Amino acid sequence: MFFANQFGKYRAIVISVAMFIFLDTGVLGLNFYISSQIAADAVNVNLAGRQRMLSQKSVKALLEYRYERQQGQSGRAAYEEMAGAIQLFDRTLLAFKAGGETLDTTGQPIYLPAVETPKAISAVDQSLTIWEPIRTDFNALNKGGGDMEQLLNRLVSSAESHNLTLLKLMNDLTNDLEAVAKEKSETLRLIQASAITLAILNFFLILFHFIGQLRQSDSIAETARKETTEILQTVREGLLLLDNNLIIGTQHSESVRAIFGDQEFAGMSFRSLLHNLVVGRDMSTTEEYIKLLLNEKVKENLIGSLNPLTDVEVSLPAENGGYSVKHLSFRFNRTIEDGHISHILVTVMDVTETIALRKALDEAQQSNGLQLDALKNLVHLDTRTLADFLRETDIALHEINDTLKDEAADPQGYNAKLQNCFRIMHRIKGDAGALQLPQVVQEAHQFEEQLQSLQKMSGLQGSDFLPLTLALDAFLRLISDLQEVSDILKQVQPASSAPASSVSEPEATPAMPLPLAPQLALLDREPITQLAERIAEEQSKEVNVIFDTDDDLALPDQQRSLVQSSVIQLVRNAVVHGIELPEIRVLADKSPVGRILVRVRQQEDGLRISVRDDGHGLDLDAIREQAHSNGLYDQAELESFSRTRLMGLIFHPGFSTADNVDEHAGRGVGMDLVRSNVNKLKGRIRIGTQAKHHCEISFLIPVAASMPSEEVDVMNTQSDAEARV
Amino acid sequence: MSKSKEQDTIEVFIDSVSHFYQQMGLAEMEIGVPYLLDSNQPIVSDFTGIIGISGRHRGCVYYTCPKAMLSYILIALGEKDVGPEHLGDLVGEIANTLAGNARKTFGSDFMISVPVVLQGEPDKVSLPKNTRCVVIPTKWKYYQSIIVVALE
Amino acid sequence: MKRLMIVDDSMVIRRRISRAHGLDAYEVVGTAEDGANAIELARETLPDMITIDLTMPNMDGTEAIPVLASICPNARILVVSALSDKATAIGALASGAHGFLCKPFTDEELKSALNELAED
Repeated sequence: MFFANQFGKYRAIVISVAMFIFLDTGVLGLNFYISSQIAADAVNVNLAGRQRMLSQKSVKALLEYRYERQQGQSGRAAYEEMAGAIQLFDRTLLAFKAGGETLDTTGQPIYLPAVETPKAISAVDQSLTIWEPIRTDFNALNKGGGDMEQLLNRLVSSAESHNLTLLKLMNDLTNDLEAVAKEKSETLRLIQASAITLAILNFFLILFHFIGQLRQSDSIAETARKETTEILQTVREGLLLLDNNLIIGTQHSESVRAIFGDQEFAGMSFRSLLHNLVVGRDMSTTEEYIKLLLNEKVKENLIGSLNPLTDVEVSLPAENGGYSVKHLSFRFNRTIEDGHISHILVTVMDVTETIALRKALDEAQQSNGLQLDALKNLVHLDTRTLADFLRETDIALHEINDTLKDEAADPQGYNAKLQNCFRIMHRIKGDAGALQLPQVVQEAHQFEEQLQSLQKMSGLQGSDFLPLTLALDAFLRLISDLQEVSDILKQVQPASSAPASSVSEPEATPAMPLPLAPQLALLDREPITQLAERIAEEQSKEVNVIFDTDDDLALPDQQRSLVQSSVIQLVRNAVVHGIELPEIRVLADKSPVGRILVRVRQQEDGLRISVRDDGHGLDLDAIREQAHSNGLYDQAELESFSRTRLMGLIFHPGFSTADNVDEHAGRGVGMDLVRSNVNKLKGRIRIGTQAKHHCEISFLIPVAASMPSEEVDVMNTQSDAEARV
Repeated sequence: MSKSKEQDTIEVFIDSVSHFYQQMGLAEMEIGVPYLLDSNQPIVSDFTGIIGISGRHRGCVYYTCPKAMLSYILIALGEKDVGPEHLGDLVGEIANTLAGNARKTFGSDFMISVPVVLQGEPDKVSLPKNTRCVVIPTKWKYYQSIIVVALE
Repeated sequence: MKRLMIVDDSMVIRRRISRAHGLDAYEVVGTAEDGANAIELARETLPDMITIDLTMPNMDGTEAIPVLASICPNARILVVSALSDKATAIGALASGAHGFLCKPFTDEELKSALNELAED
C-alpha cells in the first residue's frame, strides 16, 4: 500500500539504484568467472609446459637406461623414471586431444578440457602421430620378451630423431594455450572495465539527477514556506492548529503573538493559552466543544451555534504597560486529511472595534437628551408658561396615544386616526413655535412628516405605525426631560421676575405662593406677537399685531389654553394667508406693514374673540378650486354652496390653500384645530371678509359653557380669585 | 427617516409571533396600530408567555392572549385536548420563539431568560418601572391578543 | 424513506416538526413526550433519525441520548433545543448525538439539518 502510493514519486531513483546494483553484481560475477577462467588456463599452460619437460626427461632416461644396460647394469631406476615420464606424457597428451583426466603437478588427478584452437589441435595431432610408434615400442619394451636390444635401439633412434620436433610441438602448444588465456582474460577485463564504467556513470547520473531534483523540490518547498510565513505574518486573524490532544502546532500567524503576547506557542495546550482569559466552566465547555469537533460522528455544520467563544471579553497587557479590554471572537474548524479530521483550525478575531462601534451607534441612537441650545431657550421663558405648555403637551401626546390605541382595523379608520393625530400635533407645534421652543417644533414637525408619509401609503397596515409610536415615545421623553428642567427653573427663578410678556397683568406679589399665582391675562400676548413676527420675517412680510382686550377678563386654565392656541392658529393663518407681501400692499394703496387686530370682548351672550387682518381677504374662487382638487366635493356641488358654506370649508380637516408645506402652513390642520377647540368651548365661529380689504374670524364662547361648575371659583372675577388667597 | 434600533428590535418580536402562526400552518395574524402603555399598569389576558431580558438592555417581552383563542388554535391544529396544560404549552412555545429569535438576532447584547407561562396573574408580570412599553395589538380570526415590549 | 422519531415535551413542537414542509423524505414513525417514552418507542420502531429536546420531564434528553444511541446505533440523533445553555447542549452531543438545531427554527433549517444528518 505504502509502496504503491509512493512508487510513482520515487520511480526514477528506484530504477537507478536497481541498475547500479545490477551492474555491480554483474561486475562481481564477471570477476569470479574471470578468475576461475584464468586459474583453469594457468593449469593448462602449466601442464603443456610440463609436456616439454616430460619429453626431454623421458629421452634422457631412455638414454641412461640403454647406457646402463650396455654397462651391464640393471638400469632399473632409469627405466622407472622413463616409464613414469612416458606414461604421464601420454596421459596428458591424450587429455589435451579429447579431454580427460591426468595428474597435476602435485600428483592430484585433474580434468583437462580438449584443446580448441586450430594451432593447438594441429600441434597435438602432430605430436600424436610422432608419439604413437614410440608408445607402441615402449609398450612392447615394457611387456618384455622379444629382442630387447633391437627394440631399445629403435626407441632411442626414434627418440633422437623426433626429440626436437616433439619439443617444438609441445612448445607451440604451450605458447598457443598461453596466447588463448591471455586473449580470453583481456576480453574479460574489457567487459569488466565497461561494466564498472557503466556503474560509475550510473552513479553519477543518480547523483546529478537527484541532487537537481532535490534542489528543485527544496526551492519549491522553500517558496511555499516563505509564502506560508508571509501569509501567517500578514493575516489579521490569529490562526493556529490544535491536534487531537488540544496541543498547539508549530506554526501560527503573527497576530497570535499580538493577541496573546510574546511567548512560545508550539507544544502549548489550548487551555494554558486561554489561561486567565477563559475560566472555569467556560473553559471546560470550550474543550468539550472542540472535542465534539474532533468527533467524526458529529456534523460540523450542525454545531456552529454551540461555539461558546463567539464573544470573549478579555483584559490583555497593553503596549504601554497597562491593560486593555478587548473582545475576541474564536472560530473552530476541522481540517481534513485523507478523509479524516487531522486538526482543528482556530481563528481568533479581535472584534473590539466592531463591538465598540456597535455600542457607540446604539448609544448615539439612544441618547435623545436635551441639547444645550434648547436649555438656553428655556431659561428665557416664564416658568409658569413653560410648565403649562409642557403639561398640556403631555396631555395632548397621550391623546395621540389614545387615538392610536382606539380600535380601527379598516383603512378609513386608520386615516381618521392620522387626521386626528395631525390636528393635535399641529396645535403642539403652533404653541411650541409661539414659545420659541425649536426642539419641540422640530420634533413636532418630524412627527407631522411621518404622519404625512403614512397618509400617502396605500394599503396602510397596523405595523406601519410602529415608527410613529416610537416617535411618540421619544416625544414624550423629550417633554418629560423638559418638565424636569422646568421644575428646576421654577426653583431658581424668583417669582418676582415675571416675564415681560405679562406686563399687562398686575405685578405678582413676591410673597404669593406659586401655584396660586395671580390671575393670568386671558391671552398671553408675547408669544403671539413673536410668532407673527417670526413667520412674517420668514415669508418676507411685515406685520404689526395689536391687542384690544380687557385685562380683567379671565377663563379657567383649560379654556384659556384652548383660546390661546386658537388665537395662535388664527394669527398664523392671518400672516400666512391674509397679509400680502409689502410690495403688493403698496400697489394696493395699503401700508407695507400688515395689521392684525386681536380683540377680546365681553358680550351679553359670552366672550367674543376675534382676529382681523387687513390683507386680501378670503379668495372664494381659490377655496372652491382647492376643495375640488382635494376631492372634497365635485364642481356642481361647490357651485351650489352659499358664500358662508364655502368660507366654512377652510375649517375642513386637511384643507389648505397654501402652496408649500412648511412649518407654518399648508398641511390644512391649523383651522381644523380652531374648529375643534371652539367645539370644545361650545362656541360658534363667524367669518367676515371683504375682498382685498380684510378678513375677520371670530368665535363666541357662550357664558354658560365658559363657566363649568367645578371651575367656577377659579374663573370668577379677579377679586374673587384674590379673595381665595 | 432611518429605521431606529428600537424599531428593529420590536420588529423582531412582531415577526417572531407572526412567523410562529405561519409555521404552525395557521391563518395569518393581523398586526394592529402599536401604542404606548405605562409600565406601571401591565395588561394581561388569560394566558401570558413572558421572557425576561437582561444585559445591555433590560426589561421583558410578553405575549398575552385569551383562552378561547388558544383553544381555537389547538382545535385548528387537530388537538382534542384543550386543557390548561396544552394551552400553556402553546403560549410557552410562542414565548420560546420570541426568546430564540431574540438570541439569534441580538446575540450577546441580550441575555434572555427561560420563558415563563402565566395564567392571569397580572401582578406577576413585572415590568421595568417608570418606562413606557410598546403594545402591539394583534388579531387572529376575531380574537385579540397583544405583544408587549418593555425595554429600559 | 427515512424513519423519523420526534421527542419533545411540547405538543406544539412535535406537531411543528411533523408538519414541517419539505420533509417528504421522512416518515414520522412515532412521537414521544419524554426520554422514558422515547426509549420504549425506539425499541419498538427502531428509527433511522431522532429529533430530541433536552429539557423534558421524567427523563431529559441528556440522559436519554446515550440509551437511544445504544438501542439504535445506526440512528442519527438531532438535538432540537433552545440555546439557553450551551454546555448542556455540548454535553448532550458528546453523549452520542450528531447535530444540533436551535429553537426556533424555520422549515428550511429543519430540513437542511435532517438532510445533512441523513447524508451518510
